[in-house]
Amino acid sequence: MNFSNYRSLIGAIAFSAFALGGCNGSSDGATKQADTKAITSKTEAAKTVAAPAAKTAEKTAASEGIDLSMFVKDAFTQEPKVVDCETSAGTKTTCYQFITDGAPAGRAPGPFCPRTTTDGAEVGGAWFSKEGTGDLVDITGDFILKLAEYYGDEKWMVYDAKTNKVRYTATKEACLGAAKPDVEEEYMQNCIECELSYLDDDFSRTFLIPTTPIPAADTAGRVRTAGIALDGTELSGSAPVDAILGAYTIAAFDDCGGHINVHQGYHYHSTTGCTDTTAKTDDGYAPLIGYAADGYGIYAMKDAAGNEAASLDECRGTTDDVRGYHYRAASPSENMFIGCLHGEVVSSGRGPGGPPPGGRPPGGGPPPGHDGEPPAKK
Amino acid sequence: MFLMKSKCDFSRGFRVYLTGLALLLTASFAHAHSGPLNNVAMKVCEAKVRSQACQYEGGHNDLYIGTCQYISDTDLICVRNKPIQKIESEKAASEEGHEHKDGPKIEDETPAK
Repeated sequence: MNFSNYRSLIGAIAFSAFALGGCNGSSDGATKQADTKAITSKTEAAKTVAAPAAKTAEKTAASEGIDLSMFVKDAFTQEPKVVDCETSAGTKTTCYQFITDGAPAGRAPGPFCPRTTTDGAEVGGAWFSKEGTGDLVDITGDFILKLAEYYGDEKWMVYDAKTNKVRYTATKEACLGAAKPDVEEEYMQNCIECELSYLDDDFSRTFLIPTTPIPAADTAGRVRTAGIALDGTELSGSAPVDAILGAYTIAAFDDCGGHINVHQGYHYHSTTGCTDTTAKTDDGYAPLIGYAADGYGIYAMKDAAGNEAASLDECRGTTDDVRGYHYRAASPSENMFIGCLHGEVVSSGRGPGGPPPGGRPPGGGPPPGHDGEPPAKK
Repeated sequence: MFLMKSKCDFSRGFRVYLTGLALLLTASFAHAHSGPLNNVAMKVCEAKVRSQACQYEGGHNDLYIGTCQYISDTDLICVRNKPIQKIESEKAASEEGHEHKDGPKIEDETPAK
């Protein structure tokens, strides 16, 4: 079997896995319309919650749970509501219902892919370091130029050697084409980026997160959706990096560690400080970056002094008197925010930490190399 | 004769012990640069079950310590739950007059930006 066939086989297997499992999308056959109806029926019984009121009503002594005032202005398209919900463990409880339009509040995503091999860091975004640890690496023109050397695979060629232009998914068609299981040859060897304008006009994401975190009896299971960032976008589970690189693509992030696909909208795979709360803590603790799908807070990896937590549990969680149980995010290139979910999450039909209702449209398998993920955007 | 046999047995036993120790260390203490990104972190969890302790060496003498957790429906990855530790290099150790008798010496990174 020559390399081309082998690569095609591997690609087909990888992408078939995506289509079946996706990374963060809901591929359980539910359509977006169906999800919307389910949400609507829940909403009928729901009451709108004024942020400050909800904050005080659901708090424990240690401020465990979601503080709505921490979210960025316009993070949601509707005022968050409290609705009845049931966790995947069967616990009937109440949840905050967050509805977003897939865009990070307060900023425009990008840039992602450089345009020529001479472009500097300001033109491109970032990507995981090959070591899988530490900071993200800048996607400069030089990075694109030296991908073969970087990954030790001479087949990398994400640019035109004659023009020195970087190959990237410049259209919606290319974005979608690079996102299907049997990626066409023309979409391999690409830096992938998508735009928010590629999202459906009625695109929305709905997140249901317990108002009061409920410690789970069993924390096993993959984290498909870690949670929600303070700007209203998803803190996603791990990206299928091997498959992305296997297709000789780079699913470029912007400098904030996120990218776009038509199923999840903009979403993060890494935290680089963009979603850190601006509220300073008295004790110099690490800034809050968002909330996990189980309702516990996720704080940055390092505190104000630049130190990590001395010891965390297996989910990367810890407890203190101020914050109660909470998580500390991993480093930008570790391809994860947390290790597992300490608390119960609302069932998505795909196991713990699955995508919240309102996720991906029918038949929309995740794009190649994008956790359910269609390529990033510009 | 008896003494010679005992010596031989001891030597053979010691070799077996060393081989076993090497295999054990290889399985639980992988080195980086054997593949892109999470490969190393996943490799150390291949023969483990969820929640089992794991550790691996990253670039720049960094040591990552954690437990194995699911990264996909079937695959485990070593999720770090301690600060990145520094493995003191032999050069640095010899310069400081230290000897490594109990495995790699590690220290908290406690980074300061």
